[in-house]
Amino acid sequence: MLGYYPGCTVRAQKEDGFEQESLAILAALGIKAQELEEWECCGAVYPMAQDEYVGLLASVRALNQTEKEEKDGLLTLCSACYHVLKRVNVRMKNDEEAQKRVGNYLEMDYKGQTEVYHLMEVLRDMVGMNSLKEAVTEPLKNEKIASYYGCLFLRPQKEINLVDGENPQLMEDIVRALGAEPVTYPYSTDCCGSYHTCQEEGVSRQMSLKLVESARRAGATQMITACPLCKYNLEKCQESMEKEEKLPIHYMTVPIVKAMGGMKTLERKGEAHAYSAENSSQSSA
Amino acid sequence: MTKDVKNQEKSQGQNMVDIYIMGKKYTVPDSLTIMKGFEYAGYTLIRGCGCRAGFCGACSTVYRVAGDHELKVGLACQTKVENDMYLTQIPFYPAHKVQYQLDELQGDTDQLAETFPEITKCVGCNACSNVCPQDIKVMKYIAHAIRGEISKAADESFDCLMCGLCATKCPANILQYKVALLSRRLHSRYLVPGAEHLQDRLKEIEEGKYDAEMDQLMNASREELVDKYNNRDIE
Repeated sequence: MLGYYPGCTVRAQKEDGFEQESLAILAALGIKAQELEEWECCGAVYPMAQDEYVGLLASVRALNQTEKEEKDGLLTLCSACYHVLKRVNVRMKNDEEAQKRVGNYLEMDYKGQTEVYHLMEVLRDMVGMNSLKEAVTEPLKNEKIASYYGCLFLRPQKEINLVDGENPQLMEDIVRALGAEPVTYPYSTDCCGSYHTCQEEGVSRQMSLKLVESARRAGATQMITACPLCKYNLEKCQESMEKEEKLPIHYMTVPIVKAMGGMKTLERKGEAHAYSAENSSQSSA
Repeated sequence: MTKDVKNQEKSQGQNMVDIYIMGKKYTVPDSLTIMKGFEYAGYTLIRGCGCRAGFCGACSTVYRVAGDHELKVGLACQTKVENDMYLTQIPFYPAHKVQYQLDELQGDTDQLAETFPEITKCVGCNACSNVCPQDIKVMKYIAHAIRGEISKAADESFDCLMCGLCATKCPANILQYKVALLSRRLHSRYLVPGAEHLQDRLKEIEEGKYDAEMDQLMNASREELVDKYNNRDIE
Protein backbone atom coordinates (compact mmCIF):
# COMPACT_ATOMS: atom_id res chain seq x y z
CA MET A 1 0.00 0.00 0.00
CA LEU A 2 1.38 3.37 -1.06
CA GLY A 3 0.80 6.58 0.86
CA TYR A 4 -0.79 9.20 -1.34
CA TYR A 5 -0.01 12.91 -1.30
CA PRO A 6 -2.61 14.70 -3.46
CA GLY A 7 -1.16 18.23 -3.34
CA CYS A 8 -3.13 21.45 -3.30
CA THR A 9 -3.36 22.06 -7.06
CA VAL A 10 -4.86 18.64 -7.67
CA ARG A 11 -7.42 19.29 -4.95
CA ALA A 12 -8.19 22.84 -6.05
CA GLN A 13 -8.77 21.65 -9.65
CA LYS A 14 -10.89 18.69 -8.65
CA GLU A 15 -13.22 19.02 -11.63
CA ASP A 16 -10.30 18.20 -13.97
CA GLY A 17 -10.60 14.59 -12.89
CA PHE A 18 -6.83 14.04 -12.75
CA GLU A 19 -6.96 12.58 -9.28
CA GLN A 20 -9.92 10.26 -9.84
CA GLU A 21 -8.41 9.01 -13.10
CA SER A 22 -4.98 8.41 -11.62
CA LEU A 23 -6.31 6.45 -8.67
CA ALA A 24 -8.68 4.46 -10.89
CA ILE A 25 -5.83 3.53 -13.25
CA LEU A 26 -3.67 2.35 -10.38
CA ALA A 27 -6.52 0.44 -8.70
CA ALA A 28 -7.33 -1.32 -11.98
CA LEU A 29 -3.68 -2.35 -12.26
CA GLY A 30 -3.67 -3.66 -8.70
CA ILE A 31 -1.76 -0.81 -7.04
CA LYS A 32 -3.30 0.46 -3.83
CA ALA A 33 -2.78 4.00 -2.58
CA GLN A 34 -4.31 5.70 0.43
CA GLU A 35 -4.29 9.40 1.19
CA LEU A 36 -2.14 10.34 4.18
CA GLU A 37 -4.18 11.08 7.28
CA GLU A 38 -2.55 14.48 7.51
CA TRP A 39 -0.59 16.54 4.99
CA GLU A 40 0.05 20.19 4.29
CA CYS A 41 1.12 22.09 1.19
CA CYS A 42 4.72 21.24 0.28
CA GLY A 43 5.31 24.90 -0.56
CA ALA A 44 5.47 24.16 -4.30
CA VAL A 45 8.98 25.63 -4.50
CA TYR A 46 12.07 23.91 -3.16
CA PRO A 47 13.91 26.37 -0.89
CA MET A 48 17.10 27.38 -2.64
CA ALA A 49 18.78 29.07 0.31
CA GLN A 50 20.84 26.53 2.18
CA ASP A 51 20.09 28.00 5.60
CA GLU A 52 16.34 28.12 5.05
CA TYR A 53 14.84 25.21 6.97
CA VAL A 54 11.22 26.25 7.40
CA GLY A 55 10.51 25.36 3.76
CA LEU A 56 11.50 21.77 4.49
CA LEU A 57 9.10 21.23 7.39
CA ALA A 58 5.85 20.42 5.58
CA SER A 59 7.54 17.93 3.25
CA VAL A 60 9.46 16.21 6.04
CA ARG A 61 6.26 15.92 8.04
CA ALA A 62 4.54 14.20 5.10
CA LEU A 63 7.51 11.91 4.47
CA ASN A 64 7.66 10.97 8.14
CA GLN A 65 3.89 10.47 8.24
CA THR A 66 4.26 7.99 5.37
CA GLU A 67 6.66 5.95 7.46
CA LYS A 68 4.48 6.26 10.54
CA GLU A 69 1.50 4.90 8.63
CA GLU A 70 3.70 2.02 7.43
CA LYS A 71 3.16 2.79 3.77
CA ASP A 72 5.54 1.51 1.06
CA GLY A 73 6.42 4.95 -0.24
CA LEU A 74 4.71 8.22 -1.08
CA LEU A 75 2.83 8.69 -4.35
CA THR A 76 2.36 12.10 -5.95
CA LEU A 77 0.60 13.11 -9.15
CA CYS A 78 1.91 16.62 -9.55
CA SER A 79 5.39 17.41 -10.86
CA ALA A 80 5.82 20.29 -8.41
CA CYS A 81 4.96 18.17 -5.36
CA TYR A 82 7.16 15.39 -6.70
CA HIS A 83 10.04 17.80 -7.23
CA VAL A 84 9.81 19.35 -3.76
CA LEU A 85 9.17 16.13 -1.81
CA LYS A 86 11.93 14.27 -3.59
CA ARG A 87 14.51 17.02 -3.23
CA VAL A 88 13.66 17.53 0.43
CA ASN A 89 14.06 13.79 0.90
CA VAL A 90 17.48 13.80 -0.77
CA ARG A 91 18.45 16.72 1.43
CA MET A 92 17.33 14.90 4.57
CA LYS A 93 19.26 11.81 3.52
CA ASN A 94 22.54 13.63 3.00
CA ASP A 95 22.58 16.86 4.99
CA GLU A 96 23.35 16.28 8.65
CA GLU A 97 22.70 19.89 9.58
CA ALA A 98 19.23 19.70 8.05
CA GLN A 99 18.58 16.42 9.84
CA LYS A 100 19.55 18.01 13.11
CA ARG A 101 17.68 21.30 12.73
CA VAL A 102 14.50 19.92 11.20
CA GLY A 103 14.57 16.91 13.51
CA ASN A 104 14.92 19.08 16.60
CA TYR A 105 12.13 21.38 15.58
CA LEU A 106 9.67 18.67 14.58
CA GLU A 107 10.79 16.38 17.38
CA MET A 108 11.20 13.48 14.99
CA ASP A 109 14.10 11.51 13.67
CA TYR A 110 13.84 11.53 9.91
CA LYS A 111 16.75 10.71 7.63
CA GLY A 112 15.22 10.27 4.20
CA GLN A 113 13.95 6.69 4.55
CA THR A 114 10.71 7.18 2.59
CA GLU A 115 10.70 6.65 -1.18
CA VAL A 116 8.90 9.28 -3.26
CA TYR A 117 7.12 8.18 -6.43
CA HIS A 118 5.45 9.99 -9.29
CA LEU A 119 2.48 8.29 -10.93
CA MET A 120 4.56 7.61 -14.06
CA GLU A 121 7.31 6.05 -12.02
CA VAL A 122 4.79 3.69 -10.44
CA LEU A 123 3.57 2.71 -13.91
CA ARG A 124 7.12 2.02 -15.04
CA ASP A 125 8.53 0.32 -11.94
CA MET A 126 5.59 -1.29 -10.13
CA VAL A 127 3.23 -2.07 -13.00
CA GLY A 128 5.67 -2.38 -15.90
CA MET A 129 5.16 -1.44 -19.54
CA ASN A 130 4.22 -5.00 -20.51
CA SER A 131 1.43 -5.20 -17.95
CA LEU A 132 0.20 -1.80 -18.99
CA LYS A 133 0.16 -2.93 -22.61
CA GLU A 134 -1.80 -6.04 -21.66
CA ALA A 135 -4.36 -3.90 -19.86
CA VAL A 136 -5.05 -1.88 -23.02
CA THR A 137 -8.32 -2.95 -24.58
CA GLU A 138 -8.83 -0.11 -27.02
CA PRO A 139 -5.47 0.87 -28.55
CA LEU A 140 -5.27 4.51 -29.61
CA LYS A 141 -4.32 3.75 -33.20
CA ASN A 142 -5.01 7.15 -34.70
CA GLU A 143 -3.44 9.29 -32.02
CA LYS A 144 -0.09 11.03 -32.36
CA ILE A 145 0.80 12.09 -28.86
CA ALA A 146 3.46 14.65 -27.95
CA SER A 147 4.75 14.06 -24.42
CA TYR A 148 5.66 17.11 -22.40
CA TYR A 149 7.88 16.59 -19.37
CA GLY A 150 8.63 20.13 -18.24
CA CYS A 151 11.49 20.90 -15.92
CA LEU A 152 10.39 20.12 -12.38
CA PHE A 153 9.97 16.48 -13.31
CA LEU A 154 13.50 16.14 -14.72
CA ARG A 155 15.87 18.56 -13.10
CA PRO A 156 18.21 18.69 -11.31
CA GLN A 157 19.16 15.33 -12.77
CA LYS A 158 21.47 14.49 -9.86
CA GLU A 159 18.65 14.70 -7.32
CA ILE A 160 15.55 13.71 -9.27
CA ASN A 161 17.31 11.01 -11.31
CA LEU A 162 14.12 9.48 -12.64
CA VAL A 163 14.91 9.38 -16.36
CA ASP A 164 17.58 10.65 -18.73
CA GLY A 165 17.00 14.39 -18.37
CA GLU A 166 18.31 15.17 -21.86
CA ASN A 167 16.39 12.52 -23.76
CA PRO A 168 13.62 11.11 -21.60
CA GLN A 169 11.55 8.25 -23.06
CA LEU A 170 9.30 7.30 -20.14
CA MET A 171 6.16 9.06 -21.37
CA GLU A 172 6.88 7.92 -24.93
CA ASP A 173 7.06 4.33 -23.67
CA ILE A 174 3.68 4.75 -22.04
CA VAL A 175 2.27 6.25 -25.24
CA ARG A 176 3.59 3.25 -27.18
CA ALA A 177 2.05 0.85 -24.67
CA LEU A 178 -1.31 2.54 -25.30
CA GLY A 179 -1.00 1.78 -29.02
CA ALA A 180 -0.55 5.42 -30.01
CA GLU A 181 2.33 6.95 -31.91
CA PRO A 182 4.76 9.09 -29.90
CA VAL A 183 5.65 12.37 -31.58
CA THR A 184 9.23 13.57 -31.41
CA TYR A 185 9.68 17.34 -31.10
CA PRO A 186 12.58 19.38 -29.77
CA TYR A 187 11.07 21.10 -26.71
CA SER A 188 9.64 18.29 -24.59
CA THR A 189 11.98 19.13 -21.70
CA ASP A 190 11.79 22.94 -21.87
CA CYS A 191 10.05 25.00 -19.22
CA CYS A 192 6.41 26.11 -19.74
CA GLY A 193 6.95 29.33 -17.78
CA SER A 194 5.60 27.86 -14.58
CA TYR A 195 4.60 30.43 -11.93
CA HIS A 196 5.31 33.37 -14.21
CA THR A 197 1.71 32.89 -15.23
CA CYS A 198 0.68 34.54 -11.92
CA GLN A 199 2.69 37.74 -12.37
CA GLU A 200 4.18 37.98 -15.87
CA GLU A 201 1.65 36.13 -17.94
CA GLY A 202 3.29 37.20 -21.19
CA VAL A 203 6.45 35.32 -20.27
CA SER A 204 4.76 31.98 -19.65
CA ARG A 205 2.48 32.45 -22.65
CA GLN A 206 5.44 32.92 -24.96
CA MET A 207 7.35 29.99 -23.53
CA SER A 208 4.34 27.67 -23.65
CA LEU A 209 3.33 28.71 -27.16
CA LYS A 210 6.76 27.71 -28.45
CA LEU A 211 6.23 24.21 -27.09
CA VAL A 212 2.71 23.83 -28.43
CA GLU A 213 3.60 25.12 -31.90
CA SER A 214 6.58 22.81 -32.07
CA ALA A 215 4.46 19.78 -31.14
CA ARG A 216 1.84 20.77 -33.69
CA ARG A 217 4.42 21.11 -36.48
CA ALA A 218 5.68 17.64 -35.60
CA GLY A 219 2.17 16.33 -36.32
CA ALA A 220 0.78 15.84 -32.79
CA THR A 221 -2.97 15.35 -32.36
CA GLN A 222 -2.67 16.01 -28.63
CA MET A 223 -0.13 16.82 -25.93
CA ILE A 224 0.10 15.14 -22.55
CA THR A 225 1.58 16.57 -19.36
CA ALA A 226 2.53 15.21 -15.95
CA CYS A 227 1.60 18.33 -14.02
CA PRO A 228 -1.48 20.49 -13.42
CA LEU A 229 0.44 23.74 -13.82
CA CYS A 230 2.04 22.69 -17.15
CA LYS A 231 -1.41 21.75 -18.40
CA TYR A 232 -2.80 25.10 -17.34
CA ASN A 233 -0.04 27.03 -19.12
CA LEU A 234 -0.17 25.01 -22.33
CA GLU A 235 -3.93 25.56 -22.49
CA LYS A 236 -3.80 29.19 -21.46
CA CYS A 237 -1.35 30.15 -24.24
CA GLN A 238 -3.88 28.95 -26.84
CA GLU A 239 -6.73 30.89 -25.28
CA SER A 240 -7.22 33.36 -28.11
CA MET A 241 -7.12 30.72 -30.88
CA GLU A 242 -10.15 29.39 -32.73
CA LYS A 243 -11.38 26.12 -31.33
CA GLU A 244 -10.26 24.02 -34.29
CA GLU A 245 -6.78 25.57 -34.17
CA LYS A 246 -6.19 24.52 -30.59
CA LEU A 247 -4.05 21.49 -29.82
CA PRO A 248 -5.80 19.48 -27.07
CA ILE A 249 -3.78 19.34 -23.85
CA HIS A 250 -4.42 16.42 -21.49
CA TYR A 251 -3.04 14.98 -18.35
CA MET A 252 -1.29 11.76 -19.19
CA THR A 253 -4.16 9.94 -17.48
CA VAL A 254 -6.70 10.87 -20.17
CA PRO A 255 -5.30 8.67 -22.98
CA ILE A 256 -4.53 5.89 -20.51
CA VAL A 257 -8.13 5.80 -19.28
CA LYS A 258 -9.37 5.83 -22.86
CA ALA A 259 -7.09 2.99 -23.97
CA MET A 260 -8.04 0.91 -20.95
CA GLY A 261 -11.73 1.11 -21.81
CA GLY A 262 -12.99 4.18 -19.93
CA MET A 263 -13.56 5.04 -16.29
CA LYS A 264 -16.43 2.57 -15.79
CA THR A 265 -14.27 -0.35 -16.89
CA LEU A 266 -11.42 0.84 -14.70
CA GLU A 267 -13.65 1.13 -11.67
CA ARG A 268 -14.96 -2.38 -12.24
CA LYS A 269 -11.44 -3.75 -12.51
CA GLY A 270 -10.39 -1.85 -9.41
CA GLU A 271 -13.25 -3.37 -7.44
CA ALA A 272 -12.36 -6.84 -8.71
CA HIS A 273 -8.76 -6.34 -7.51
CA ALA A 274 -9.92 -5.11 -4.12
CA TYR A 275 -12.28 -8.08 -3.84
CA SER A 276 -9.65 -10.69 -4.68
CA ALA A 277 -7.12 -9.00 -2.38
CA GLU A 278 -9.62 -9.10 0.45
CA ASN A 279 -10.39 -12.75 -0.17
CA SER A 280 -6.76 -13.81 -0.37
CA SER A 281 -5.96 -11.95 2.86
CA GLN A 282 -8.91 -13.69 4.53
CA SER A 283 -7.88 -17.13 3.36
CA SER A 284 -4.30 -16.60 4.52
CA ALA A 285 -5.47 -15.33 7.92
CA MET B 1 6.52 36.51 56.29
CA THR B 2 5.62 34.31 53.33
CA LYS B 3 7.01 31.37 55.21
CA ASP B 4 4.76 32.21 58.14
CA VAL B 5 1.73 32.39 55.88
CA LYS B 6 2.69 29.04 54.36
CA ASN B 7 3.08 27.40 57.74
CA GLN B 8 -0.08 28.96 59.05
CA GLU B 9 -2.17 27.84 56.07
CA LYS B 10 -0.51 24.45 56.02
CA SER B 11 -1.62 23.93 59.60
CA GLN B 12 -5.16 24.47 58.35
CA GLY B 13 -4.74 21.59 55.89
CA GLN B 14 -3.78 23.70 52.85
CA ASN B 15 -0.64 23.26 50.76
CA MET B 16 0.56 26.64 49.62
CA VAL B 17 2.49 27.51 46.46
CA ASP B 18 4.16 30.68 45.20
CA ILE B 19 2.88 32.16 41.95
CA TYR B 20 4.03 35.30 40.16
CA ILE B 21 1.39 37.63 38.74
CA MET B 22 3.01 40.19 36.45
CA GLY B 23 6.27 39.48 38.22
CA LYS B 24 4.96 39.92 41.79
CA LYS B 25 4.97 36.97 44.13
CA TYR B 26 1.80 35.74 45.84
CA THR B 27 1.26 32.66 47.97
CA VAL B 28 -1.93 30.76 47.25
CA PRO B 29 -3.37 27.29 48.02
CA ASP B 30 -2.27 24.67 45.45
CA SER B 31 -5.83 23.42 45.03
CA LEU B 32 -6.86 26.57 43.14
CA THR B 33 -7.09 27.22 39.44
CA ILE B 34 -5.07 30.12 38.07
CA MET B 35 -8.21 32.24 37.99
CA LYS B 36 -9.12 31.45 41.60
CA GLY B 37 -5.48 32.10 42.48
CA PHE B 38 -5.78 35.62 41.10
CA GLU B 39 -8.86 36.23 43.20
CA TYR B 40 -7.25 34.71 46.29
CA ALA B 41 -4.37 37.15 45.76
CA GLY B 42 -6.82 40.03 45.80
CA TYR B 43 -7.45 40.72 42.12
CA THR B 44 -10.95 41.50 40.92
CA LEU B 45 -11.49 40.07 37.47
CA ILE B 46 -13.75 42.14 35.27
CA ARG B 47 -12.55 41.04 31.85
CA GLY B 48 -10.74 37.94 30.69
CA CYS B 49 -13.06 35.75 32.75
CA GLY B 50 -16.21 34.57 31.06
CA CYS B 51 -17.87 31.26 31.70
CA ARG B 52 -15.33 29.94 34.25
CA ALA B 53 -16.06 26.49 32.87
CA GLY B 54 -13.60 26.01 30.02
CA PHE B 55 -15.97 26.90 27.21
CA CYS B 56 -15.71 30.57 26.37
CA GLY B 57 -11.99 30.89 25.75
CA ALA B 58 -11.74 34.32 27.37
CA CYS B 59 -9.05 33.49 29.93
CA SER B 60 -6.11 32.27 27.88
CA THR B 61 -2.95 32.41 29.90
CA VAL B 62 0.72 32.09 29.03
CA TYR B 63 2.91 30.76 31.81
CA ARG B 64 6.27 29.34 32.60
CA VAL B 65 7.42 27.36 35.59
CA ALA B 66 10.77 28.46 37.04
CA GLY B 67 13.63 26.25 35.87
CA ASP B 68 11.86 25.23 32.66
CA HIS B 69 12.51 27.29 29.54
CA GLU B 70 9.33 26.25 27.79
CA LEU B 71 6.41 28.68 27.65
CA LYS B 72 3.14 26.90 28.28
CA VAL B 73 -0.46 27.93 27.82
CA GLY B 74 -3.75 27.10 29.40
CA LEU B 75 -7.15 28.46 30.27
CA ALA B 76 -6.95 30.20 33.64
CA CYS B 77 -10.26 28.67 34.74
CA GLN B 78 -9.11 25.12 33.93
CA THR B 79 -5.43 25.02 34.84
CA LYS B 80 -4.30 24.52 38.43
CA VAL B 81 -1.58 26.68 39.92
CA GLU B 82 1.88 25.20 40.34
CA ASN B 83 4.75 26.33 42.49
CA ASP B 84 6.91 29.08 40.93
CA MET B 85 4.48 29.70 38.09
CA TYR B 86 5.02 32.94 36.18
CA LEU B 87 1.69 34.09 34.74
CA THR B 88 0.57 36.43 31.96
CA GLN B 89 -3.05 36.82 30.95
CA ILE B 90 -4.06 37.35 27.31
CA PRO B 91 -7.66 38.47 27.78
CA PHE B 92 -7.75 40.27 24.44
CA TYR B 93 -5.78 39.93 21.24
CA PRO B 94 -6.03 42.76 18.70
CA ALA B 95 -6.78 40.49 15.73
CA HIS B 96 -8.27 41.99 12.60
CA LYS B 97 -12.00 41.37 12.48
CA VAL B 98 -12.89 40.67 8.86
CA GLN B 99 -16.43 41.81 8.13
CA TYR B 100 -18.61 39.61 5.96
CA GLN B 101 -22.26 38.84 5.35
CA LEU B 102 -22.76 35.11 5.43
CA ASP B 103 -25.65 35.32 2.98
CA GLU B 104 -23.45 37.04 0.42
CA LEU B 105 -20.74 34.37 0.56
CA GLN B 106 -20.63 31.02 -1.21
CA GLY B 107 -19.85 27.56 0.06
CA ASP B 108 -17.33 26.91 -2.70
CA THR B 109 -13.67 25.97 -2.54
CA ASP B 110 -12.24 29.48 -2.86
CA GLN B 111 -14.34 31.19 -0.21
CA LEU B 112 -12.06 30.77 2.80
CA ALA B 113 -8.95 31.91 0.92
CA GLU B 114 -10.86 34.84 -0.56
CA THR B 115 -12.05 36.05 2.83
CA PHE B 116 -8.74 35.31 4.58
CA PRO B 117 -6.08 35.47 1.82
CA GLU B 118 -3.27 35.25 4.37
CA ILE B 119 -3.93 31.53 4.94
CA THR B 120 -1.90 30.74 1.83
CA LYS B 121 1.15 32.19 3.59
CA CYS B 122 1.24 29.20 5.96
CA VAL B 123 4.79 27.83 6.07
CA GLY B 124 3.85 24.73 8.02
CA CYS B 125 5.73 25.54 11.26
CA ASN B 126 2.89 24.06 13.35
CA ALA B 127 3.34 26.63 16.15
CA CYS B 128 -0.46 27.03 16.16
CA SER B 129 -1.14 23.37 16.93
CA ASN B 130 1.61 23.28 19.52
CA VAL B 131 0.11 26.20 21.44
CA CYS B 132 -3.55 25.16 21.29
CA PRO B 133 -4.94 24.53 24.80
CA GLN B 134 -7.66 22.38 23.23
CA ASP B 135 -5.14 20.12 21.44
CA ILE B 136 -6.73 20.92 18.10
CA LYS B 137 -4.66 20.19 14.99
CA VAL B 138 -4.80 23.83 13.97
CA MET B 139 -2.30 23.57 11.11
CA LYS B 140 -4.26 20.63 9.74
CA TYR B 141 -7.51 22.60 9.53
CA ILE B 142 -5.67 25.53 7.95
CA ALA B 143 -4.34 23.05 5.35
CA HIS B 144 -7.94 21.98 4.70
CA ALA B 145 -8.94 25.66 4.43
CA ILE B 146 -6.19 26.34 1.87
CA ARG B 147 -7.42 23.42 -0.22
CA GLY B 148 -11.02 24.61 0.06
CA GLU B 149 -12.12 21.60 2.10
CA ILE B 150 -14.60 23.61 4.16
CA SER B 151 -16.38 20.74 5.88
CA LYS B 152 -13.13 19.07 6.90
CA ALA B 153 -11.88 22.38 8.35
CA ALA B 154 -15.17 22.75 10.22
CA ASP B 155 -14.94 19.25 11.63
CA GLU B 156 -11.29 19.46 12.63
CA SER B 157 -11.78 22.83 14.38
CA PHE B 158 -15.01 21.91 16.14
CA ASP B 159 -13.60 22.12 19.69
CA CYS B 160 -12.15 25.63 19.17
CA LEU B 161 -12.96 28.09 21.97
CA MET B 162 -11.69 31.13 20.06
CA CYS B 163 -9.07 31.93 22.70
CA GLY B 164 -6.80 33.23 19.93
CA LEU B 165 -3.49 31.81 21.17
CA CYS B 166 -2.86 30.27 17.72
CA ALA B 167 -2.91 33.73 16.15
CA THR B 168 -0.44 35.08 18.70
CA LYS B 169 2.09 32.47 17.60
CA CYS B 170 1.64 32.58 13.83
CA PRO B 171 4.66 33.86 11.85
CA ALA B 172 2.38 34.41 8.85
CA ASN B 173 -0.20 36.48 10.80
CA ILE B 174 -2.98 34.04 10.06
CA LEU B 175 -6.14 34.39 12.19
CA GLN B 176 -6.69 30.66 12.49
CA TYR B 177 -9.61 30.77 14.89
CA LYS B 178 -11.54 33.20 12.72
CA VAL B 179 -10.92 31.09 9.62
CA ALA B 180 -12.22 28.13 11.61
CA LEU B 181 -15.36 30.01 12.63
CA LEU B 182 -16.08 30.92 9.02
CA SER B 183 -15.55 27.31 7.93
CA ARG B 184 -18.14 26.15 10.45
CA ARG B 185 -20.54 28.90 9.40
CA LEU B 186 -20.17 28.06 5.70
CA HIS B 187 -20.51 24.36 6.47
CA SER B 188 -23.76 24.87 8.36
CA ARG B 189 -25.17 27.49 6.01
CA TYR B 190 -24.31 25.95 2.64
CA LEU B 191 -23.00 22.41 2.86
CA VAL B 192 -25.20 20.38 5.18
CA PRO B 193 -28.85 19.77 4.36
CA GLY B 194 -31.18 22.07 6.30
CA ALA B 195 -32.79 20.67 9.45
CA GLU B 196 -36.37 20.12 8.31
CA HIS B 197 -37.74 19.41 11.78
CA LEU B 198 -36.46 22.82 12.90
CA GLN B 199 -38.25 24.55 10.04
CA ASP B 200 -41.43 22.62 10.87
CA ARG B 201 -41.23 23.59 14.52
CA LEU B 202 -40.57 27.26 13.71
CA LYS B 203 -43.61 27.23 11.47
CA GLU B 204 -45.72 25.73 14.24
CA ILE B 205 -44.54 28.41 16.63
CA GLU B 206 -45.31 31.17 14.14
CA GLU B 207 -48.76 29.74 13.54
CA GLY B 208 -49.46 29.98 17.26
CA LYS B 209 -49.64 26.30 18.08
CA TYR B 210 -48.00 26.82 21.50
CA ASP B 211 -49.46 30.22 22.37
CA ALA B 212 -52.11 28.87 24.73
CA GLU B 213 -49.64 26.73 26.69
CA MET B 214 -47.22 29.63 26.89
CA ASP B 215 -49.91 31.99 28.19
CA GLN B 216 -50.89 29.44 30.77
CA LEU B 217 -47.31 29.23 32.03
CA MET B 218 -46.79 32.97 32.02
CA ASN B 219 -49.94 33.52 34.07
CA ALA B 220 -49.43 30.62 36.49
CA SER B 221 -49.02 31.30 40.19
CA ARG B 222 -45.83 30.42 42.03
CA GLU B 223 -47.54 27.37 43.61
CA GLU B 224 -48.71 26.09 40.24
CA LEU B 225 -45.20 26.49 38.80
CA VAL B 226 -43.62 24.68 41.75
CA ASP B 227 -46.12 21.90 41.38
CA LYS B 228 -45.53 21.65 37.64
CA TYR B 229 -41.78 21.59 38.18
CA ASN B 230 -41.93 18.90 40.84
CA ASN B 231 -44.24 16.73 38.75
CA ARG B 232 -42.47 17.24 35.42
CA ASP B 233 -41.58 14.38 33.08
CA ILE B 234 -38.04 13.29 33.66
CA GLU B 235 -36.42 11.33 30.83
